[in-house]
Amino acid sequence: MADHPALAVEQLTVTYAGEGGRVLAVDDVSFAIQRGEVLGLVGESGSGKSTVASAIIGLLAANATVQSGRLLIDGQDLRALSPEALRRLRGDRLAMVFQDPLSSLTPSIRVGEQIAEVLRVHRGLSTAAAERRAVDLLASVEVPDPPLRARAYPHQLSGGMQQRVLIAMALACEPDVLIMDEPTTALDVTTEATILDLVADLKRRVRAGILYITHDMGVVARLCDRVAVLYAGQLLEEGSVEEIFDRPRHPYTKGMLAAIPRLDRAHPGKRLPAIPGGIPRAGDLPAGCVFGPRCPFAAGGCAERRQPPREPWAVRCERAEELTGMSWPDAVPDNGGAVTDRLGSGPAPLVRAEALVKEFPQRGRWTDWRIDRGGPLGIRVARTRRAVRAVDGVSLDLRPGETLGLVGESGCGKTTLGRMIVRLIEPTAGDVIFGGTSLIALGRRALRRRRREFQIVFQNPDSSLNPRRRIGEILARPLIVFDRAGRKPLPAAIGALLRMVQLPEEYAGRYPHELSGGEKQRVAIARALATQPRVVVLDEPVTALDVSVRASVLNLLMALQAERGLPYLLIAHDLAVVRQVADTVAVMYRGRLCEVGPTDAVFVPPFHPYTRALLSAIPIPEPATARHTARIRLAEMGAAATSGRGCSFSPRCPARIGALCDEVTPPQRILDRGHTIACHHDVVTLGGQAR
Amino acid sequence: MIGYLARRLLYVVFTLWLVTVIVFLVTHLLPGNVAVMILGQYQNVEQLRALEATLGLNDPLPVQYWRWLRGILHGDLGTSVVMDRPVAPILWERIERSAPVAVGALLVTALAGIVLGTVAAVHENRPVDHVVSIASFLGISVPEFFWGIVLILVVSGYFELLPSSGYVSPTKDLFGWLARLVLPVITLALTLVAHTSRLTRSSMLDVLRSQYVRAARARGLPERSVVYRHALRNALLPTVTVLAGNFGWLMGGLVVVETVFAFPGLGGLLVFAIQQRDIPLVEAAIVVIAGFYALANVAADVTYTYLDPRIRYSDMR
Amino acid sequence: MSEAGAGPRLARGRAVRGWAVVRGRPALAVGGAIVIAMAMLAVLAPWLVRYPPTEFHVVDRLTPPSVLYWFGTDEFGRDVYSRVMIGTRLSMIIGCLAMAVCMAVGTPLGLLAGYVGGRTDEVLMRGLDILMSFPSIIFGMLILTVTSPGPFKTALAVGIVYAPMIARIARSVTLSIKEEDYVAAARSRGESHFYILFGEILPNTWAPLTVEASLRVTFAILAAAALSFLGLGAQPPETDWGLTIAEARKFMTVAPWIALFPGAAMCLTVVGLNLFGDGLRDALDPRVARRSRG
Repeated sequence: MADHPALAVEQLTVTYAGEGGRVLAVDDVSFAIQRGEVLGLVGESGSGKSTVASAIIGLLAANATVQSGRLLIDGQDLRALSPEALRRLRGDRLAMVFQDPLSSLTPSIRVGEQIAEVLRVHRGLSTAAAERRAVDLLASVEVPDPPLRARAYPHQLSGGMQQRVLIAMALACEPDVLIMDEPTTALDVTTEATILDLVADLKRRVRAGILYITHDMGVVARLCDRVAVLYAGQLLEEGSVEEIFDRPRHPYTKGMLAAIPRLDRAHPGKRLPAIPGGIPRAGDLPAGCVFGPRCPFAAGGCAERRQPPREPWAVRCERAEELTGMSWPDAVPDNGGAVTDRLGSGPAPLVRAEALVKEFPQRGRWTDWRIDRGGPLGIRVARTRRAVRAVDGVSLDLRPGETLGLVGESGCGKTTLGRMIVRLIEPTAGDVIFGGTSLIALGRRALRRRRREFQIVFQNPDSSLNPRRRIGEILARPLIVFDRAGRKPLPAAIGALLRMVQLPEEYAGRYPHELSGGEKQRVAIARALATQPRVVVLDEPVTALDVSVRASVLNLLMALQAERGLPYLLIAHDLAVVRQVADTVAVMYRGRLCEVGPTDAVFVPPFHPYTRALLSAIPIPEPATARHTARIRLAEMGAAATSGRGCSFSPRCPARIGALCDEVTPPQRILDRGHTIACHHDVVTLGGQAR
Repeated sequence: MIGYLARRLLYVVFTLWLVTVIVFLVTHLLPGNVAVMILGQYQNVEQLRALEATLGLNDPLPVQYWRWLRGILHGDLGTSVVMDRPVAPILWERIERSAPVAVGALLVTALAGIVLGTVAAVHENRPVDHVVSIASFLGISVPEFFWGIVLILVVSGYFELLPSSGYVSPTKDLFGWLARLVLPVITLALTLVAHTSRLTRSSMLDVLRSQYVRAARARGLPERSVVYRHALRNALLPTVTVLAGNFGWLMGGLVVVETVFAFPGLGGLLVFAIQQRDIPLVEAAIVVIAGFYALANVAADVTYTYLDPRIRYSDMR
Repeated sequence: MSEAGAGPRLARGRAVRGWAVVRGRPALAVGGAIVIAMAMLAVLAPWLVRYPPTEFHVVDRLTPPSVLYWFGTDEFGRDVYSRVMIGTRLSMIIGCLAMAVCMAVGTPLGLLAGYVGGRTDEVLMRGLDILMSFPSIIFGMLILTVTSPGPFKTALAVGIVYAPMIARIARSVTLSIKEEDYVAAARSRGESHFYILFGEILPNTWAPLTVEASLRVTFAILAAAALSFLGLGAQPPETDWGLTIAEARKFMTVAPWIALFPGAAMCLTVVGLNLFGDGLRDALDPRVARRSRG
């Protein structure tokens, strides 16, 4: 039998019907995956990676068509099959795992039954046999108590479990090809780590060729054997994972690897090497090399000629040989490259948050009512009030010119905390002291006047800007409210704001939908800085942006901070970003701070157990390190504890001492240089844990 | 889930109570009062005063309201002014006649609407879909009274297939009774079937485009299974809710249809009562209608709960 | 490092884009054409008729359509064509008025309930629920009997009856917009409630509300026609669609044209409005996939 690759894609071209005619989504993409091999398909938005997956499985949107190309599973051309034959193939020899597990499971059918259905359809198993096999499959993906979980409905399971169910369904018939489309993007960091472990384990056990789609280079380093880099529908480079990481050939790959912040080291001066510009829109691709406009190595021919793949490396760059060994240009730090000692012992804090608490009352159940003794009539009707403490006694300091990075996973309360500091949410208890004045004590009118001093930049650029207003109007508003007493501002002022964030002045006449994500975020930054605030809260400012754009926006933020001496509260779940730009780091879990300290101190031992778990969960974009780092596995997050006692991390903590951790709030262990860890273990024990 | 249903039930009861208050207030804004109606032309002031005192019409409104409400809770719906008989039996007689029409229309709507909508969605953009879409489009564009008239013209007038009006008791003449039901039921159902099929179609199309249906297809499940097992149940959720709302519309439509077909049912009674300013009759009829509507809502809630497991089961995390 | 060429501008103006949207959608075009035609008819009606609609031509009563009387005559010898023209005018006025009342009453209530939230929202919604639990025609009948019947009262009654529906839609649109970050940004600037509601939220509610309104205006027209049919709308000798059809019932077998022509006019208008509303909704639906994400 000829040795066909499990999956071979040959010159795949996909177009779809756009507003002005047909638009190229995938342009002449070719790659092959052998059995037992994992190919990472890397790309940002608009790269066409999901379209490739949809084309392979035959579920393209109605307005998209495969113009040309071959899709071969084990040598068999999928495009030559009848729809019925293709249907039989799907789920059996070719399986797919999707990005958002909750939306990918039918809400009205129990999960065990959904798995069993696949087995009945493709393998003809009886109902009972299929049920048994479904439970076995759940066990093989490490779902605890499989018989119980099999009877659950999708909404009753956590995100991580739902994804395991999807994986189990995909593996049910032992497929030849498995496509995984960003399976961990919608999950928490610690949950993601467990799923990645599972996939790495599967790689060994299962004989399929796996196409793993992602935008995260760390994940690629951890899991993949080969890598294919997609950009604007074209395959720019393909190679083994070592080749791609150690000897990238295409400028885009070099740029991507240089621009992503890394957990294990920080660039000097808080500046990242950045890729200028933004990703071109599908209908508006540049002539010639599709990456040309953004490439620092571009020469004359790059803008003229479309780049064909250069054998034997499959690189679409005619200058690839010339550029061998040349790395992406570094960023120029403001202070000329001197490494600042980020020890957090700078000037006095401008903003202090003191013991901030936020409770959200919950709908009670009728069993909460009870009858007690007491009161004038001898009995009394009382009700236990249920509430969730999103933020539970957090204190922070923000110093001028410094960035405090607030990290934690989703649901830890960091966004709530950020919004409390700018008084978008009223604290239940606690205070915010601003330059000596207590903000809580201010009356409404006084508060309104002072609002200009603290501003916030939101996470989602699409929802930050009113779609019905022009950029100029959006930027004018803070000026009208604070500086102009209701009169319209001068156009020069708007222009100055746009220049400050490196956008052309003519953008003032455009609407938000005409701007890219990175540009919209710049407008949001300009709007926040228009009132000349004295502190800015940044709520995950780059999370929603494409990877290649993040670095330039971060650099902008750092430059503005250096100019104005602004303190930032940077809320993020990406520890690598925080490592890069923050002076101090605060790690938050379930409403409480586990660890606070200068950046350089927090990222080396001693660690709070949660910090240690977080750090080990994030894959480093370096194959050697990523594959061999021991990971700390945490149990899934359970329901929030309602009692205020004890350490909130205790249920999942690998270093849990026992009842002490559940009952008694851990003390703050003070290490030197402003570094504190909240844990019952002493410093020596915590320091003994090696990274 | 019990808690959810209990809350809904309480809410419905509360709504019904508010309905009685509103009906009472509105009807007592009508010019004239019951005493004037009874005495008619032959009234003089003393007789009027005497009758008003006897009927308790001089008492403050809340007292009158409470009296009336108590009566309802005991089953006494008052006395019709015009017909000089207790209201309850009159209503009951009319309800017996109208119920088959309403229920029939609802059944036809549910069956035909859901089936047509599903078929149209599954065969999107093919001839079947176009036919159903155009037909349902016409259905929502033409008012039921016009349909009724056209049907009378064509079926009764031209083809002379069915009688166009009147009522016969089923015990006396079963076929006659059925024959006189057909046209009113069809007229009433036409608009509703059109609405329901459009709603089902669009809801079904939404579900067929959803991520979990796509994932089901990606598993190679046969299309029939995808549609009927995975999609349909979830697509029916909005339809079920709307069907309950349609019940209210149905009551209104009943009024019009019974007028067109001269069908002596609840709707006709209501029109008569309003025109004659027969206050007790109006109040009782509307409360009864609102009661049915509330029951329909509860039934819809129960069905919705059955169809959507997210309400039935809470987190197992 | 500037971002030249990063965000390509859509070179076409908004007007040109608007036309492109219409061109691809026959429903919108045809529906729009019909609506405009009927609207013009309604406006120009008095000048388009040959005989006054109330003039009796007793000699020619109950004649079928002919050259003299394009739609025939009714039992009093009145020209059906004239009556249909004038009736269309009145019916369309009633429909528009009803819609205006509906939006004027429902939109602020919905906006308020959505924006303020909390107890106010709950109370308002319960109240609206109760109003909606009345079958609309019956409620209309009730109102029109309390006040005396008439075409403009009909418009008012129908408007009030359908206001809760618009209020619900306005409320849900407001609720979803309230969660957007640009509203939070406005709050973080200490903007007044007035500004936030009218400057940030309201401009974004126009589109969905307009779509819903155009889909529901047909309900109002049909409900008004039904009320007229029951005798509670236009009073003789004025005429509108419902009343004409009601009066024509007696003569259905003998002279069907008296009822059929007004009915056809009514149906044509409603069909046009429905087409237009459907087309508008499709055109403005943000879920229609326009670009595929890689």
